[in-house]
This record gives sequence, C-alpha cells and structure tokens, in this order.
Amino acid sequence: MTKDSSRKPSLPKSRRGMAQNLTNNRFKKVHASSASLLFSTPALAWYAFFTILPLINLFYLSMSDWGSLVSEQRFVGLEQYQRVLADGLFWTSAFHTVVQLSIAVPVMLFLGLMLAYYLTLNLPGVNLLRVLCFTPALMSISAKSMMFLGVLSPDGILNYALRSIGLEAFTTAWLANEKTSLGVIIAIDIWSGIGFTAVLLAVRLSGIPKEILEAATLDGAGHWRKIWEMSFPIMKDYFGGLFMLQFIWIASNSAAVILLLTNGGPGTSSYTLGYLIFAKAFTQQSVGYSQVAAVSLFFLGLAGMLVIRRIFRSVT
Amino acid sequence: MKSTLNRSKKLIAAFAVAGLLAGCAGGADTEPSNTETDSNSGGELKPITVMMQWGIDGPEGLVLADLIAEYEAQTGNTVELTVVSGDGLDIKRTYEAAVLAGEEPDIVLTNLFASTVDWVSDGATVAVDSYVDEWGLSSVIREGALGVWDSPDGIRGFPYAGLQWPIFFNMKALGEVGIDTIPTTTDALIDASKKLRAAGYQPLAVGGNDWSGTKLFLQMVETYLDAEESKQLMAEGGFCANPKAMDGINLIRDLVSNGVFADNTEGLGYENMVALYHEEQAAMMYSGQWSFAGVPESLAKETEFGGFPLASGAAWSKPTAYNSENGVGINISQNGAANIDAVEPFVKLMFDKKWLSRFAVEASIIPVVEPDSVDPSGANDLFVQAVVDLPTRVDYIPMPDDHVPGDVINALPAAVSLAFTPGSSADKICSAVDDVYSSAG
Repeated sequence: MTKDSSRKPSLPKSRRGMAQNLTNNRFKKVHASSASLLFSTPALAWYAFFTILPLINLFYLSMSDWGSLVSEQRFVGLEQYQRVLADGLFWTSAFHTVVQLSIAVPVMLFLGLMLAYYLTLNLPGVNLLRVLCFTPALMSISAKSMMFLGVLSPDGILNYALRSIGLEAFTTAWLANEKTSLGVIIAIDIWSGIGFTAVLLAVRLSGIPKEILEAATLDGAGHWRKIWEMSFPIMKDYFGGLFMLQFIWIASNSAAVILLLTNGGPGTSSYTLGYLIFAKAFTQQSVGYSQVAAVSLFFLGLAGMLVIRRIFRSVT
Repeated sequence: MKSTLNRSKKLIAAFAVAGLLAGCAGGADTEPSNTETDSNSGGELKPITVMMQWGIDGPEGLVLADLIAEYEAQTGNTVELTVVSGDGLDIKRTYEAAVLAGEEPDIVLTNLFASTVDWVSDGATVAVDSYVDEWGLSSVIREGALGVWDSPDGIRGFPYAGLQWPIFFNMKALGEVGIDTIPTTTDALIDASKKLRAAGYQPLAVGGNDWSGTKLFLQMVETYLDAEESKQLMAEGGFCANPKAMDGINLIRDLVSNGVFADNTEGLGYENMVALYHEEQAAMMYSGQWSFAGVPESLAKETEFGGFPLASGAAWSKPTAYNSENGVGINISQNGAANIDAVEPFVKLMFDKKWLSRFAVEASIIPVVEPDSVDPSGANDLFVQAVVDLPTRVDYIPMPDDHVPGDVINALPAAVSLAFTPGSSADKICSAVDDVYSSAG
C-alpha cells in the first residue's frame, strides 16, 4: 500500500475555516484595492496632469532663458540658476520672505490661540466677535488692499488718527517708507489670518473635555496655564497642521497684497519671493528668472514644512 | 501771456513745424483714404476684434465709439471692442496671454514700450510695412514717426499718436504768491515752492511711487547729460559711476530737501497727483497730453505749460521736457493679418482726416501725421499750448521709453521712489537704480 504523497495533510476543521477566511479576506482586499484604484484613477490622473506635470514644467522653465510670455524660450540649464543666485535682489527677496514667515505665522498662531480660548469662554458678545473674526477671511485681496490703502496712505486714517492725538511726528507714508513697508505687509498678513485661525482653533478647543479645564481651575490654574499647559498639548497636532497651512498660504499668496500696495518698494524693501515671481514674469520680462524664484520658494516651503513638522513632533 | 495769433493758424503752423522737425516735409500731397470704396472690394467680412487701453467713457473712447459706428455702417461688419484699462502694462499682459492662447484680437492700440518693442520679432504682431504702402498711409503718417516704429523686423505698427509731457503750472496760484511767470530755473522753482507752501499750497505734485515719478527722476538725471550720454546711461545703467548722473540725483535731493515736491510724494501715485492739481491743492503737476481733457475748465484757463526748470551747469539751454511719437500705435496681430480685409478699412478710417481731427480736437490726441492730414481747429487751449507754445519753451530730451530696456523700466518705480523719500542719500538711490539694471542682466 503506497502512500498518496500528493494528498495534503488535512487540517483540523477550525484551522480549515480560518484558512478559508484568510483566503476570502485576501480576495476581498485585492478586490477592494482594485476597486479603489479604479475609482481613484481619474483623481490621480487629474492630479498628475495638473500638479505633477506643471511642477516638472516649472523645473524645466527655470532652466530656460525666457523673456516675455510671447518671446522665444532657450534652454540654458543651470546657467540660469548661476545668474539668479548671483543677483542681490533674489537674496533680498529670500531674506524678506524668511522674515515675513518667521514673524507672521508664529504671531498669528499665538494670538489666534489666545483669541480662540476667549471665544470658548462664552462671554457676552462672543458671537458678534466670532463674526468679526471671520470677516477678513470673507474679503477679497483687492478689497482688503483698497481698505489698507485708505488706512495707510499719506492722508489716510492712521496718519489722521496720529495727528489728532498729537503724534504728528510719527506720521509717515507707511507704504512708501522703506523702514515700514515690509512691517506693514506682515501686519496685514497677521490681521488677515488671525481671526480665521482663531475660529478654527476654537472649534478644536471646544472639543477638549470641560472636566480637564475645570479640574485645572480647581487646582488654581489661571487662563495662561490653561491655554498653554493644558489645552495646547492636547491639540498640538491640530495646531501644527494649522501652522503649516498658514505658512504655505502666506508664502505663496501675500504677493498679491504687495503688488497692490507697495510694488515691492520703496527700493526693494518689500520684495518677497512670491512677489519676485510675479514681477519678473509679468512686468520685467524675465519668465525664466521668475521660475527660478518659484523653485526656490517651493523648496523653502518644503523645508519650512519639515521644520514645522519636526517642531510639533518634538513637543510630543 | 496768451498769444493773439489766430489759434487755428497757429495749430496748423505747429503741425507743419512738427512735420519739418520730423524730416518729412516732402510728402505734402496726401489724399484722404476712401474707406467705403476699398472696404467693399472683397466678399463678406469677418468681424474684427479690437483691444485698447483708452477708457470707454473717456474722450478717446467716445470718439472711437463713433468711429466704430461709422465703420460698421460703411462695411456692414461688426467690431468687438475690449477695453483693458490700467497703467499700460495690463493691456500688454492681457494681449500676450491672448497670443499664447491663439485668441489675440485683430488690432491692439497701445504704445511702443517694454515688451511691445519685441512683439514683431516674437511673432505676437506683424510688421506693417507693406500695409503702410499699399493703403496709401506713407503719405499720411510722418516719416519720422514711421522711423521710430521701425525695427530690423519691419515697422512694428501704425504710429498714431505722439505725446507731450510738460509741467502744468497753475498761474492763479503762482500769481497769489507774486509770481507771474513760469519758473525756468531750479532756484526760481525753489523760491516759488517756499512761497506756495507759505500760502498753503503744495508745490509740485508727482506720483513718486509710480511711473510718473520715474519719468521725472530720469528727466532730472538727464539735466547734466547730453543726448548721447543720456541714451547710453538709460540703456546700460551705471548711475553711481556717472558723475553727471550723480549731479542729477543730487539735484533731486536738493529739490526734495527744499520742499519742492508735495508732501509724502514717495507715497503718491499718478491719480493722487492729478487729484492734488485738479483740486488746486498743488500748484504744479507733471503730466502729459492724455490728461488735458480731464482738467476742470476753470483750472485749464489758469494752466500754462513749461519744461522742468533748468539747474545751473545743465547741458541744456532751456527747461526740459519729453515728447515722443510712440504714444499710441495700431498694432496688427497674426489673427488680424488673417482678417486683413476687415482690418484694412478700420485702419484707414483711423487715419481719415475727419477722425484724426476729432481725436485731436475732442480727445487731445496729438496725431503723428502730416500737417494737412488733420484739422485741429477747435482744439482746447491746453492742446494748443502743448503743440504751439511748449516747443518754443523747452528742450526736448531723450525719452526713457525709447532707451531704457523693457525688463528694467517696469522695475524702476520702486527703486526711484527712494529719490523722493526724505533722508535717502544719493548713493543709496543710485545703487537701487543700478541694482535694477544688474538684476535684469
């Protein structure tokens, strides 16, 4: 009697059922991943077409000698980078961008969290304050700029207010004074984002169990400790995410305000990389140069996000 | 000091002089084009598209609207008009974006400035040499103007309007402080400014934060340079290394510190400047013929034109001013070339004596055409002054638009605004300007 070697050793009934389940699960997973791939393909294709390809094109254009939009492009490789990196305006703009981001984002988030905490206290008038906080986010950039033009122009509201309280010596052309122009842009960035940030942070703050803060109050913790030693650690990941979003938003979008208010001046005192990209491409007939600035801003943004991520990780 | 000569005769004489100055006195036998006959020579016309920077409700836009109505009545064709208002850069950006999309208008009315200079070589517009000859416009457009628009690739568009860029003096305000004549020296200007300030007026208004301030800055820098030196400096930069340019910058600083310019000039734009003058808060402003029609009637009567007062040691013998034959041109796109049968009657109509005259009289456009191609009778006093009197009062010096590279000129205002900022040193100003040139490469 020979032994049937092809016959598989039989498994106990319970093990057989488990194996069958595993096979079924694997099949289901493959099926599910195929289905999700099928359904996500249009989105991935869209993303590749409108994000990845333009990004590749950005790198290609940054290595092109290209004047105005309608002029001929000529591939020059890294020569373009050598030229731009040797230009003082590029470094001035990069420095201003770093200053802008280093001040605007932390200040906005710091004050935003304090304001958010105030909003969660449910004091009288808080609903009105919530609406007021959100108002800057509802204004278009051009409307915002027009408003600040009225405030900051030589005959604007700010100088009028300073004169009326006897501080004429402090009046100046805020947007046309190289000592104040970048500061004004940063202040507008903060003003534009602080309320919106506060509203978003308030949503997360209201999700923190009240018992924790009540216990802290019983232990004698003041508002400052409740914000920074109780609430902040609980919501630090959310805070970090918002920090990152505001970082990207300011890095890439504050150029519009600069364009409408200072044109990068006086001199180069309010040039940032975002504005340099616009100015070189659309007013100074140097599209290739502008794309080098765009690549630089891309990497600056990437580096900034890694740093932010690391900071908020280390807090953990 | 109003002249007693007949105004129409003066104007016609002025256009004749302008023609002679442009070196084209020979082409006198011009004939108004017969647009009706020519336009009907082909089959059914395709609608044309026109882009312009003149405001639709402004004097130029109103005349153009009437012209379009006549074109449509004559040809049975339609015109689609796109208005791109702004500082002159907007229309270039809009047009170039349209070119990239292959949707550019057939005709674009703009000046020869910045990237426009290279439109023909870049293929964004077509050379119009053959059209100028075939359509009989070589005897209408001044030869000098065609020369300005010429390039190695051909004539870049039909030159249409020139410009004059004087200083506006409110003689009533000056009279109130005991000054009866236009200041012609910088010492007189400083003296006038002090008296005006004491009387509550701002002296000279200029948009120190935009293109108007840039033009005045360069005009003052040119004070100690001859024409060739000016052209070279504006083309290549090197302000800090040029002692004569530095003298010009020091002159500006001197004028700033003596209160010649309106308060906070470094923060003012063109619109602020116009408002200050129109509201008679400022006694002088620096603007061109495009703004004549907007001057309030009562103020226009009190306004006299002059050049920028001369400093001692200047390279010029009279106060200086800019003029140009590249104020507005009619550019034809590739799409326009493909629709040339419909474009031709429109362009011919633009150069018809009736319409040239209406643009001159009603919109203060200074046509760059032969004297007998336009009848400026009825033009307003400011137009007459600019065409007749101003040329006798000033030395015309090289115009920046013709010499400053396109990738530099639009970056200059931010740098130049330092010149009007109290406390800026001449070294800092020249460095900022040179940096713009070096950044443009």
